[in-house]
Amino acid sequence: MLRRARPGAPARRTRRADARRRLPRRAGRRAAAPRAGRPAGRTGADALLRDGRRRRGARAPAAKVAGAIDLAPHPVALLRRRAETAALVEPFERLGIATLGALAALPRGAVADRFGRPGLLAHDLARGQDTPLAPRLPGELLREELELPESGSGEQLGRALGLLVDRLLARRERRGRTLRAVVLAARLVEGGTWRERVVFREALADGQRMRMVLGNRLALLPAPAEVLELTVERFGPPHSGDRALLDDGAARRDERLREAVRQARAAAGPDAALRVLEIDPDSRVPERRVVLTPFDPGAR
Amino acid sequence: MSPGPRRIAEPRPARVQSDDHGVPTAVDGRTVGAIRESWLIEDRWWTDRPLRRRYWEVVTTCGCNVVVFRELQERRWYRQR
Repeated sequence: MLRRARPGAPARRTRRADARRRLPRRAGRRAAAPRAGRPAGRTGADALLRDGRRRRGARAPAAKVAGAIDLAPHPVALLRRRAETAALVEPFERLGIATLGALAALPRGAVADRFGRPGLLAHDLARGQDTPLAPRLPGELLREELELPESGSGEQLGRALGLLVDRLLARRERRGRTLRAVVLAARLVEGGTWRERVVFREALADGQRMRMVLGNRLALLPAPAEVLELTVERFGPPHSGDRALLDDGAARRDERLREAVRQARAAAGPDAALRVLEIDPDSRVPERRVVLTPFDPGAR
Repeated sequence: MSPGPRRIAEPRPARVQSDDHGVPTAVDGRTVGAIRESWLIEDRWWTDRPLRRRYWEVVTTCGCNVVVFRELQERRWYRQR
């Protein structure tokens, strides 16, 4: 629709044009503003949490980053969240330093003189200088269990343990890593459970040595077990292969064998390479004497 | 979890004919020529599933050496090697 130009119209158009010219600059400023509400550190996160709780129901501002200005009105009691600064809260309050802002305003040297290293840390926290938040790494569960229908004890239990160790070391998820700590657990025939945490003196992937260490712990089992369980609690660095100083070709043969087993399993599944393991060779019941278990070239 | 351990020498059902005393006379259609040995196994009697088996090691007329047993609880014949 066309309108007649009026005396004030050109001026209005100019204002609109100015606004349009300014718009990209404003948009640019918006884009540069922080978008995610990631607090600078733990104390900042605590302060944001308190803010969120205070106005329950209201949505927390998404672009807020807790810095010195945001922390300023919060009480020094927030410092109780850190073990290093928890003891300072009471003296601060006694001296009339009620808020983090008041603490941040104090000269750094004076705080250091009066409260030492914890005081400096509290001062840093009050000024929004904190260690960055680090996400927790999800735990990795690697577990093998074996039912013992004959209520295992003694030598039979030792063989079951050997089988568990073999199966744990054969797991693909291990990715060649050594084991640093494991948990040996059992469900007892008489009811109840038993659990023993074992930390190896050095991270290892040698089934024989693991059997030796864990076998000693099995002696602590208070009653016959119906289920035996072995769980990796902590991994060590990747297995170096434990090569001898003078390689006589055996290591190369082992390596080739390991690679052959790996390829066979990749082609035909985990049942491709198995070995016969004696469980109870003197048993009168033939099916209890031996089992087939994953073949581990390193455990020969 | 990796596949569990697989037992070897699991018992398999067998067709066995026996006389009045429970002595096998034919195994899977083959006549028994000689009885080499017989023994009794009783185990796990302290559990809910006790194990009672009468084993027979026999030689059939075609020359096969076969081990069969009679499960005395469920009264069935099995072959095992």
